[in-house]
Amino acid sequence: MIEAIRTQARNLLENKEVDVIIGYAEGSDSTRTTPVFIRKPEEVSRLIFDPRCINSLPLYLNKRHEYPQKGWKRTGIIAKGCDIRAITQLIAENQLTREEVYIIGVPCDGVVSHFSKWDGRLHDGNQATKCAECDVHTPTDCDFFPGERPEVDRSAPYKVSAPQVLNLMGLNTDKRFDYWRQEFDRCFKCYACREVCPHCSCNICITDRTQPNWVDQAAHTKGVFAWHITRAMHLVGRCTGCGECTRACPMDIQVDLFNQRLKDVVQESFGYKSGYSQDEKPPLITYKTDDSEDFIQ
Amino acid sequence: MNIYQPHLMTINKVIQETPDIKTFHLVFQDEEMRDNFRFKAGQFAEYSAFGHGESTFCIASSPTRMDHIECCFRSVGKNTAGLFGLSEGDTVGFRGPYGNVFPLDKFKGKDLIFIAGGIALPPLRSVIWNVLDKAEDFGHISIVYGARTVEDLVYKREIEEWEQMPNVTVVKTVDPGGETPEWKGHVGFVPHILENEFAPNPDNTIALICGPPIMIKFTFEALDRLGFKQDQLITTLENRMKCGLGKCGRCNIGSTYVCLDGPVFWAEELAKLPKEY
Amino acid sequence: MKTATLQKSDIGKCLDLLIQSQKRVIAPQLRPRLDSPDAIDVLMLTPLENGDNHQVGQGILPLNGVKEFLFVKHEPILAFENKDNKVHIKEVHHKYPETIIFGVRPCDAASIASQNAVFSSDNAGYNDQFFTKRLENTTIVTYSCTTGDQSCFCTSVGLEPDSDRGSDLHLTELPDNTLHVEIKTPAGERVANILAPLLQGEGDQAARDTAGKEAHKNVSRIRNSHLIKAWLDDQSNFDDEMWERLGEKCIGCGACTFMCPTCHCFDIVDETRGSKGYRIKFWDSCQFDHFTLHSSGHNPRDKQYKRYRNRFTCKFKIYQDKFNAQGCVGCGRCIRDCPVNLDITEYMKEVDLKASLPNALRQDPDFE
Repeated sequence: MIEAIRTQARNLLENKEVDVIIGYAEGSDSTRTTPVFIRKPEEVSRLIFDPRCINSLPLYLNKRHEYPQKGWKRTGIIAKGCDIRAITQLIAENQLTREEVYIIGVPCDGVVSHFSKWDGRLHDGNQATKCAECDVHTPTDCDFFPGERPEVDRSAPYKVSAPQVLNLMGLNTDKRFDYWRQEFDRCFKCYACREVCPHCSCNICITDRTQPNWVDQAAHTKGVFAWHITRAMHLVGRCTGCGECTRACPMDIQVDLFNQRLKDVVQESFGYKSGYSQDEKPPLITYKTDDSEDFIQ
Repeated sequence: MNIYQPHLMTINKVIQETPDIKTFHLVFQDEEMRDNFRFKAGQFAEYSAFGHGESTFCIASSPTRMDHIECCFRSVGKNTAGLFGLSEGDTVGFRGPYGNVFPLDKFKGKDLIFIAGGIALPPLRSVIWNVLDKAEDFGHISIVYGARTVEDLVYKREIEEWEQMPNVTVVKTVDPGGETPEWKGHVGFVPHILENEFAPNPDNTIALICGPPIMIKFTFEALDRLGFKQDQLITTLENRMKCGLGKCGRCNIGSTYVCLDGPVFWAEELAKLPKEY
Repeated sequence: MKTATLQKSDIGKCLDLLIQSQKRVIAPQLRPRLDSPDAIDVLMLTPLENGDNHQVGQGILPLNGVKEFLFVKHEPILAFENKDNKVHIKEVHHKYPETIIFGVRPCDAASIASQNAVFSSDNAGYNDQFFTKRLENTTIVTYSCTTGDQSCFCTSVGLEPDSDRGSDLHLTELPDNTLHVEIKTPAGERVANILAPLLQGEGDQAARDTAGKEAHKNVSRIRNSHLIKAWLDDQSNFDDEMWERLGEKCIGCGACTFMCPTCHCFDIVDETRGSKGYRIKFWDSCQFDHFTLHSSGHNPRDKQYKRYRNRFTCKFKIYQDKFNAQGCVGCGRCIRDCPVNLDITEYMKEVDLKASLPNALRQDPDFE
């Protein structure tokens, strides 16, 4: 598979159809991989793909980052099914046009939940939980796919979130608050959850705005709660569930539980699943003139 | 002692310089501070509107006039907006003085040219009044000052005052498009006017420059073409700061901390620094 | 120097004795496990109520370093009140309880001197009492490492897994399940006095040295760092192509800086409630885009790779030039916790290579 990808990548670069290919390369040790930017055809041998390729690379396509750059023909990207959902969502939100990106889709059987759990193969003990529920092991929309792309039935009924969300929902409010207070006590607001998110696309984040100061900047209880709740709310109906925020958290806080819960709410209320349509706008960033509620008037 | 604790000062007078720039005259509330506070031209301080934060400005008044301290600021951020909303009689916080100074001893007997753009005149104004108050020690004084528009010029009355002084030459300019029908000064960017209209002689002269990084760069180049040497150019930088004490870590240019090693730099010192200001 | 021997199995009793002596005792503990199959086991330095569940000497490193107990994440540095149209300011009175941090790894212990160089009066005479008063009341009991993980690189920056820098009382594990105890300072001696009932005779210095050498072999990530400073001193390298190439993938979060035991940057803001408020000092990061943003909109570090260049330069040059201290202690947290696997030792390797090339080769434009 990887040879087909490298060959395609080389062709794209040689024919100047893309200016760069964003993919995965070997990381700093054998358990890790790293994002890589390939610009020369002879560098394509650095490209790899296996279950250690956890990162959601579409974050680099978000307008806050430098890809695609002005004057570029196209940005190539190696994308798992879940990454393509993120790209699709970026397109739906006008962060990107489909023509600006060349998607090299990869079939993916799942990735590890954390690099430290990699023992040479993927198994039930180290696979990320998001992969168990995944319906895009075979990518949906891509410009290139190594080999034959099988037909996939994606009509399975919507499944509610991970058991932890349900467990938390089962607690009374005080207990749930205690849980989060304990977790958030470790948060120091490094904003890894924000920076790693493909969908956090504001040029100036609301937490960095000081006039007015919407969110206390210090990492005390109030400031931390305000940040994480704001983050979750801003991603309602937009989060594609890549779980990068939780993986990136250096303090090991499971911040995507909020996003998972809100994903359920959006599904129940609007029947909307993010990342499957370039045209359908997320329900909370659009409105309809024939909306049954009158708040908009 | 808490190094972050400010002294309280009362605003004695507010001068609206431009639509978004104000000058404060400040007096220490503590009598002992009033008597003992000393600073030198070029130093800066942290000023706070309580509840809004702290901001870094140079002390804009001269150490030869110690009846009050002056600062001059534009309302751009949270704290400067807070300060902007204060009135005469209100309290501000003051920490300082911090940083190094303009080496006036080395300027003695020389002609001085002050070159500033926009809100960058206040840091030089401290030196200007300092040398004017000791005019016998210095040669001729020239002030080249420009702003985006006529409205954006600060210290308008003082500029008139300086224009009346026999040993002072004032060259004022506004950016193209910023002039009014009544405008009597030049029209053009400061480095251009400096080089082509004023064209000072470099002999026995020191140029003091303050402005945004891009203006400093072009002014240095213009002065270089006029024959000025590196050891005749001195400037003051304004990197972002929070503590002013060499601890918060944001004003550094390489290993040089603007708050401790600056803000005043000779051109030759600046040339040795990475271009990160 | 005084030495002693302690049974490894008595660490829990040690912690109990120290807690009973009315000290705040902080030691590594397993963080309560998340209810998630994705969770990983992590150690955290945590204030203890008793010595039962400590993890002293276990694992590689706690997630948090000693930093957050000295340079705390956020704290008020001033209180103010607007009353009768006048501002009143008040000192805030923090408690600085006598604290013993037990089981600190040598890299973390070495970082304390670096932080102290910034916050103490050694830096231009300005003493940040919020740091120095905490440090005065803190005793560090270090515990030598026996091994490292893939991210550890202390031996590349002049430290050893059994270094005793920054230590008041230094413990080294020996193969016979005893601990070699070294009393390094008067504060360490006071701790040793409390632990006296559990200490036996003199320590076996030879066995301790052998254990240190064994541990050295287990920290594998060797990079040369001795050429880096001179390379960074050469201003022409400020615009080296390496910075952009290696830093391109950096996403600009503050994980590396907040996890770093020597990173010291902070911000100051006012927080008000009605007429009262606090001025708060809290952790900030040179990796954030607005960190150096001027009010004019100009930003001296306007690209992410420039921000990482600053971080690397801070570790290997600025700390030495400005604070006469070590900028990097090789703990590896920035490597472990980087979401995009940006690895500071890759920069070290690259600089070392560039710096060790003969000049003629370096100036040859065809040489890559």
